Amino acid sequence: MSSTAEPAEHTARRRPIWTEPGIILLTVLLVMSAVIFTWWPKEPHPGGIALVGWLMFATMPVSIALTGIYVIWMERREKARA
Amino acid sequence: MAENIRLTESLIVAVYLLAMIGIGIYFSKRAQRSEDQYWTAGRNINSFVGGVALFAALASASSLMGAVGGGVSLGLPFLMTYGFAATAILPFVVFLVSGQIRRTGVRTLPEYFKIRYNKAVAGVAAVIVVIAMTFYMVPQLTASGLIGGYVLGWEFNTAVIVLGIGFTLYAALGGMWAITYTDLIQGLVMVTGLAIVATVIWVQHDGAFNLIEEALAVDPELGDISQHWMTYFGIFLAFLWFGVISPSAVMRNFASKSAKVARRSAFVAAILYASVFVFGFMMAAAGARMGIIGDLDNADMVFLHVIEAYLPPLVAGILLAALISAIMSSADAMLLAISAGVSQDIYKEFINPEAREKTVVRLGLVVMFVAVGVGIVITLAEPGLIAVMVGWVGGALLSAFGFPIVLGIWWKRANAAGAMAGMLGGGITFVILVSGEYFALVAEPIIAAPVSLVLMITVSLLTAPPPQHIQDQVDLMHTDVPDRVEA
Repeated sequence: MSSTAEPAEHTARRRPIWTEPGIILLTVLLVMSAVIFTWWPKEPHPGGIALVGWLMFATMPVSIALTGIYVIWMERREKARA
Repeated sequence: MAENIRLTESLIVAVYLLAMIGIGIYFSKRAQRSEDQYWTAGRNINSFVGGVALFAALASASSLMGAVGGGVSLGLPFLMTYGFAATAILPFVVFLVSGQIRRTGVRTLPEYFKIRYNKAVAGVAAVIVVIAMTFYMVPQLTASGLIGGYVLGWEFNTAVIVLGIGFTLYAALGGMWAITYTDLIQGLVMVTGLAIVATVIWVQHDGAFNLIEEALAVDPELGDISQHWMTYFGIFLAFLWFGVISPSAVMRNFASKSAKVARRSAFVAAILYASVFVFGFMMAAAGARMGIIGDLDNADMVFLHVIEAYLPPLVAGILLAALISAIMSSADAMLLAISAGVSQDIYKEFINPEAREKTVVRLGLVVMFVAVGVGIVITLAEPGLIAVMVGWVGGALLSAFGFPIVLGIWWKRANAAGAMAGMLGGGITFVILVSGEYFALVAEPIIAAPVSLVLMITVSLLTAPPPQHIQDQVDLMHTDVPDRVEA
């Protein structure tokens, strides 16, 4: 496996894993999911549907937001390094 | 259903199919120029086109018919689990894989395994890709048959064969170029069509909450959790990982112009995918309100009944095209993965390393027709519940590929022996659990994936670490250097 990138940039050190935007945001995503599955509120039924159903639906905009935050975060980091 | 509806919808589908094949012909010359052009569209796809195409590849028949059918028959929380998991695919894949794997510069998933681990791991991966993607086509073809039979008045077998050959034609001719641009159209048609039907339902029932109330009056258990929690968790796990482990989805990253474009594409796809489940929720509630689920042979058919009940024939025809879009845009990407698996990763790597590029591309083209033929034969013999079949394939891929892919990117110490142990151990455990029916529906990956993880870590630690140059390349996937790390 060889690279066609600039040699100087090849020596760039990898960031510590816990500072990676992907790992930080992944933790948020997983904690959110873990809360839903451990709590698992089958009752009450707001609007006639089990609360856990609504919680799962409410994660959809959160997932979109996390993806957007990651995209912007990574582009800023790359720009800062350039 | 009136005859004129069948005629209108048949015409729309025919025009639609011809247009897709036309796109395949348009891109055929460019695509067949080289392996890079055929499998990755010359790595030249931009964010918007890539995003819509990624969404279209992920939003399969399961996302539409399966989720709506499951929502009506097993309760709306079942559909909401689909929405939860499917939308989370995109952040999950973009955090862990998209940009990083794009930097490797590979063309296929087995090629990634080759440069990260070794040729043997790549070979096993290629075989799993071919088998899994062939089986994953079955639910797509099943959906083709159901739609063709019900709406167009065709025999199930005829619809499966005609629509199957239809998407194979343009995929085989135009490779990733045709697949991406047909997926762009299909994705947009799909979202627009579903938005129309959801809006009509909303207006007719004066809002979502009124609709839910009416649906609950027909089926008081519609809002309940009807299955063991493991079923929901199994669906969540299988879906969450799908963008990471499905070769048909991962290949989209390889076609992106850069790591940055791959990430932006995932963002576009997340928005579109979430919208599908919001619209699907309206359709499921409307379907439940109709009170027909007990009369249907297959719960997935409720999707078509809702369209028929709420839309005039012409608009219904467009939505039918949207549904066929969902099937084709997932199945074409699977075909490409199978084709690359056989011709690039097995034939060129193990049988004829000196093969010319054009020979490999032509072999790939032939493989697509063989693969769809096999898929059709299996579909005609064993049509089953779409959502369950999708869950099984997703579960199998997760059990075999999930950790070898992710740890390959994030853990330098992961080595070839560990990857092989994880891949085989997870895959075999999954097969044993499915065969024995020990668990709740689609819950096998809850056991099989951790088995893969434990095996991979243990065996990696017990054997020699990977060579230094491989470990350096793992670092390179995470730095901000321009991508294009070439094999």
